[in-house]
Amino acid sequence: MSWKKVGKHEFNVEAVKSMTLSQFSKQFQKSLGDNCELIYYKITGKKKSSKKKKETGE
Amino acid sequence: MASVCNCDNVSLNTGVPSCVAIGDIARCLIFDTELTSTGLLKERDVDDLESFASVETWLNAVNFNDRWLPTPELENVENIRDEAVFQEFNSGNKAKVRDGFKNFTGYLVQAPRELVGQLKQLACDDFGAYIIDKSGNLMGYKGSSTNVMRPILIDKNTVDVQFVEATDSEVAMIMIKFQWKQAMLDENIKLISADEMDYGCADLYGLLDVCGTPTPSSATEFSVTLTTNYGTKVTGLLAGDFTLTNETTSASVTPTSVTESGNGVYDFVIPAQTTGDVLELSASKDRYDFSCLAESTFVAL
Repeated sequence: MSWKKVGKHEFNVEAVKSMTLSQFSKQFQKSLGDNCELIYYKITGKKKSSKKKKETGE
Repeated sequence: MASVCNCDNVSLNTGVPSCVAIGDIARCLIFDTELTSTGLLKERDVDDLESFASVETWLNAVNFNDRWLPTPELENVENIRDEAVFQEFNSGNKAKVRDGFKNFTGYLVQAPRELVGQLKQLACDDFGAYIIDKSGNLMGYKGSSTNVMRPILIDKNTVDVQFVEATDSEVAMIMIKFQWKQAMLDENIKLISADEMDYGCADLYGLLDVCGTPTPSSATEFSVTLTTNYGTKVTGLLAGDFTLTNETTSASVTPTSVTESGNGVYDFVIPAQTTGDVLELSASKDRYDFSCLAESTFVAL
């Protein structure tokens, strides 16, 4: 089991990895506020998905 | 039992080595139960007694019967044997009836009142003590072989612990007083020289009892404030120091996060458990005894 410390918080990396961003945000919104998304990606090491631009064929 | 003499085989020599450590005035005591958790006479290996690495495992032992219980440093120590008791006849001749009892008195300077309650429990079981003296030598009682030592046994009925209030001219102190068991003979007190040891009184520490009542605020959150029996907060614990168990299912529960949100206040986020399940939080860290915390189970919301 590995723990990652962010400020006063210690997160169980495996447990956070098993959560979706929305589940994580719902759980930690109160204590992390706007930093939820940033911290989620920092803990999990996941890459933030970027939407592909639609090709217009022009 | 102390005997005046054994007449079956009288043979003695009075040679004394040129340089032999005989011990100095006691600086601290280390209480130890007489028996192991399995009811056997407790003997500790001399090699282990010399090494702080071994001693520290005893200071933090989870099982109380394995634990070493050192006192803070003592002042005004007296460790004196009463005069022997003689019967005097009409002719003026005397016969020795028995050796005098040996009494120990010492003072813990500016020690808190709560320690009185802890030390009084020495009267509730069979304890002995090792002594570390002013020069750093450790004294214990002869064991079953030269490689082991036992604590010097205390007569539990004689244990007296009192808080001595401060006055205009004296600081507050705890007086501890007891009699060694009559069977403890001075000639069987063994000594490990300070030169052989890598620790002294100042390195030893007793554990602090830690209590707390975990309080759930939702299905996935609970908080606990950890306080010692002296009222101080327990800070600096890490997630890995805690263990959470669902007592209903006997399953270990791994917290998602642990946050020290205030002085000794720990907030936990956990996977939701079945409502009504009983959870137990415990912890483990050197210098603390968390058994009181583990007694405070709580119910999942």
